[in-house]
Amino acid sequence: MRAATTGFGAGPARWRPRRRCRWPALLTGVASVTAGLAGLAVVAFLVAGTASGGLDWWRLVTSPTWDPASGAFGAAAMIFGTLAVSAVALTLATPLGWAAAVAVSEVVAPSRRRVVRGGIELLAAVPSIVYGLIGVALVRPLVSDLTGAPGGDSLLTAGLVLAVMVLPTVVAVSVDALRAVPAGLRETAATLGLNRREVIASAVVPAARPGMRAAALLGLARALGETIAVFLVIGRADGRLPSPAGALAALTRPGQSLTTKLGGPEPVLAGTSGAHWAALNALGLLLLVSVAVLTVVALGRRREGAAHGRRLRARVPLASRFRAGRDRLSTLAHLGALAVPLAVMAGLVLAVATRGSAAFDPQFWLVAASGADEGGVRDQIVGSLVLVGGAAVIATPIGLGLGLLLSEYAGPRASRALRTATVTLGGVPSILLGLAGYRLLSTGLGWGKSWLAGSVVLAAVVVPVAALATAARLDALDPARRESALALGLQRGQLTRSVLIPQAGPGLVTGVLLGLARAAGETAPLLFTATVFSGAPVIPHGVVDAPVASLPTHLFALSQDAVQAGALRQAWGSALVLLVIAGLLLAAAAPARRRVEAVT
Amino acid sequence: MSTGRRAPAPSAPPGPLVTAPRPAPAVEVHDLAVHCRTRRLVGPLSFSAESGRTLGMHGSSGSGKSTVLRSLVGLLPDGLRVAGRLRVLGRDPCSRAGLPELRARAVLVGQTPVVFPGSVLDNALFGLRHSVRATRPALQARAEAALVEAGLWDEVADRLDQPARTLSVGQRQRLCLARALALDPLLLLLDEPTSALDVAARDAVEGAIAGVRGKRSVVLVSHDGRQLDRLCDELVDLGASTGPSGAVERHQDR
Amino acid sequence: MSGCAGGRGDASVLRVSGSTTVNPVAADVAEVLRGEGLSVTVDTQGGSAGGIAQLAAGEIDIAMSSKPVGEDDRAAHPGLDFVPTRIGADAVGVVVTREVFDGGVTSLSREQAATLFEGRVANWRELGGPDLEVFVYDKEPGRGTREVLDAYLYGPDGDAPPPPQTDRFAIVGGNEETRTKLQSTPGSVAPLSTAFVAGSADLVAVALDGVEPTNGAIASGRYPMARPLFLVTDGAPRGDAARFVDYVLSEPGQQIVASHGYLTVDQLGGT
Repeated sequence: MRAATTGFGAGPARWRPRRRCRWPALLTGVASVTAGLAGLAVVAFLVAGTASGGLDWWRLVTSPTWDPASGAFGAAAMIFGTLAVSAVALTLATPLGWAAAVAVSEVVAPSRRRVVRGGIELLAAVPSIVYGLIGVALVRPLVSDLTGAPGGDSLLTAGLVLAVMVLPTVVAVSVDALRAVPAGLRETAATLGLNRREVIASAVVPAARPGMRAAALLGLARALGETIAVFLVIGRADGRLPSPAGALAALTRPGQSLTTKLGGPEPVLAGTSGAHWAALNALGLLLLVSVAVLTVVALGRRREGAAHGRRLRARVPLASRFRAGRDRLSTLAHLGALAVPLAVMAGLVLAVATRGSAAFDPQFWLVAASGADEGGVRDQIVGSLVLVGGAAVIATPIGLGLGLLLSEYAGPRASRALRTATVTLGGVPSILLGLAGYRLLSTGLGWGKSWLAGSVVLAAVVVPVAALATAARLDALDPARRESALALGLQRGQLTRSVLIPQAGPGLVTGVLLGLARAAGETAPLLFTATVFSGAPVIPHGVVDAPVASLPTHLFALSQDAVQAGALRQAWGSALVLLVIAGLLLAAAAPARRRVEAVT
Repeated sequence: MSTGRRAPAPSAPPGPLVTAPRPAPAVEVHDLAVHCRTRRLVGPLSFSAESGRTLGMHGSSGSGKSTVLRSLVGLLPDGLRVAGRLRVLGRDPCSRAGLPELRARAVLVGQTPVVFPGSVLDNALFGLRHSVRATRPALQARAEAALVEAGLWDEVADRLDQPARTLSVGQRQRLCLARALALDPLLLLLDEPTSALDVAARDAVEGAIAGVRGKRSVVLVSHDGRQLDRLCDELVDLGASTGPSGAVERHQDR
Repeated sequence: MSGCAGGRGDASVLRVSGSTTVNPVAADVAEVLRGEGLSVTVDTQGGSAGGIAQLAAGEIDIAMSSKPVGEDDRAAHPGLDFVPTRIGADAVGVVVTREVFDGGVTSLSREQAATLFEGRVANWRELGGPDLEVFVYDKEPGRGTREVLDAYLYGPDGDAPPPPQTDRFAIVGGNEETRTKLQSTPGSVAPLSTAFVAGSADLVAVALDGVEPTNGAIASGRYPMARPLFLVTDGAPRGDAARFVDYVLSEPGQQIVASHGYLTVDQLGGT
């Protein structure tokens, strides 16, 4: 019927009537609404929880005394713990990460750059529970020997472990900022007789500075939200708020952070209303708001960096007498800084591989665990694959739809706001996702411990990564291609289907796989939603009360028993299996990424 | 060249950059060829530029003019190999040692003006402050003299501390020229310095180049034959495109 | 209020959760019953109190507990009929490292133990031990072990003081973690199920008021920190839950209890 209206019906080759292509818009709409609701659900959950009991915010922020039995809910000591641990982590990771990023971007030969970046990305994909195991088994004794902190449980230990975890974030974001500096700036500086150190210091770093600062802020956001690795080594002692003078000495003592309080037993014990529950939710809200503020500020800085160099510099460093020497020295220093994360990466793989030799036995992969420290991890592998597979199925369409919204369907201002929201969602501490999932899905919908609840929570980890990668890929589309498609008479839906989605493909695949690599190692949210200590069937039946086993939570249980030889052997073996799985997901993303990077 | 009221004296460098007598010729090239893997992109070609003269290099796009200029200061992209014998100010630009010092004496100015974050003055000082040890006022005096020499002083004298990116494209290109002149270079390598500019801006830049003529050695690359005729003492023709013939025609102009 | 929690969709899975002290027994029993075709999951989230909270919320069928169900629990969940079944007993030891024990701290009085856990002892010399600084690990809230210790130190109805503010104090969770941290910290002390230190070369449970935690002393009630272990159900155990509880009370089930170092119901003199 509609064919006639096009007016082309009489030709020798009949024009097919154009059916409107609606599903891309529908997908975008559904995906965006789903993601938006999920984000809102977490916030609403925390706000409602906080409102459920009379909460004295002033006391929460200023009092160090946390004693549910007597109704005292002061979080000042936890806030101090969180800040102290993050400060240690950033003090180490920021200068090191910046210098290493300069080495990657400016010193290392371009042909080797990809390998080096790959190594650092692998460091980023190491599950936090593996860092936790290393913290318990290797860093604690070290700190104990060096500082005399008994047992080694301390804020310092947690900060050291966090520093290694934050380092890849700082390096990766800084490298992006440095690579975004136009090549012409480097070259022009070189034509004026600057040596490599001077080019870096005077031309490249000033232009990349906002992006590098953003890297530190995003690193801080990651540090604030980390739970599991910190949980195992911080000591979890409440009420420690030192005087300003004693703050430094307090580093070698046990403490508590916001996330470790939430990762402990109290959310399960606190019921679903009342002062205790409200105070716990307030801790979550505090955490969420800090992470969100940091993310927004960091993105703002990065954008400012794109607008490039507003500040005028009054200070002019004058020519030095030892130009050549300083040049050589700075190259060495940068390469040295780069050597640290690479050495940590190599050491980490080596440490896990030598101790995890159990995993070299194929039986370990194929046999179920028996007792506390016998057998293999077959069920855990299958369970993790079920969780990750479920997350992939949920996250892929939502990631695609959200990516389309960010890059194509939203206007420029809305897009900017939505991108910030998406990055913030990606920075939400996973412990909060886990608690929200526990209350909304496990308790609220009555799913109990359920693989689907776990997959939904993990999908929330994957979606932001997938959406942002998809949007970045769409942004890079040559405008001429879009114009010529529109010039051929394509409607928007058809444009999306035939031009945008093929363009987005590699970005989506990359994003989903990178997100899954991270999700595969998530521990804290699964403890609340999807796994039990033992007895989960290999393949879950149904949805309600259908838990699965998983590698990270298995590893978490084993790391608590880290002096028993058998448990340790199983733990390191499981850690190796987990590393291999995360590494495989990263490697699977490599071909798609190469396509992404080749074009952009 | 007209200078403003506040114009500083056009010279008085704080110290000689080169104590040795100036070598002649400024550039000597024998059988230069640039390869990417097995494919030859440029040459072989030979030419030389006499000291104190302006050498024009002519060729259509794709003939490798920029590649030749870049090879003279060791700025070829990774993966390109240079064969042949090159001498720039008596030194071999293919050896890595001492390249920054060579580049500070033989300054390349590119086709599109690149300004650094910071003020106009920051930009004029940019190369200078790394190569020359002197007090800040001395450096500033020299940078201002360079702005005069590049014919930009009248336009920027009252906005030296404003961001360089607020300048027009033509002004920016002259700022790039001034930045180079501030180093008091023996040799200027100009790579299509006017091709990104409109007519008025082109005239201003040409005026600046003409002002340099005779005082320094210049190699000027352009696809605009008439511009080369206006500005150059000698001319080298790189031919229509890359070819094994490497037909390099050299002729005396005046 | 318990009805809103969604109830059970899949009646074929028996869900057990709670105390890490009871967990080894339950895990072994679950494995045996799984071989007989019963679907059982065992979890340890939140310890004893976590188990009771989850039972009240309808999230599990059997709560493992290393403390009796308290009056406050019953008061908080009036619609629920908590039925605890005693399956054995365990002793909580004040566990120290071998170095401290060999250095002379082999027995503590209640007052000494209280000063220790209140953070008022800085060096083991003060208790007649070696010249070694004290480091106290306490259990996190909700752990049955901690409640047994508090009941011993401050009486069944006494209120424990808030955790000490000394620098030599940290919190641990389950029994495995406690054992790990004790072994890796010189001069440390913690409340821990004696079953978890049986046969250990590095850790020893000291005598309390001169009574060592032997089976006889625990059974007779002379050892002050003995505690019964429970499986708690809502109403009398029915169906799969009854099968589970009955197996634990049976001969092979009690052997499992004994194999983990706990006292059997028989040793305690019947139920």
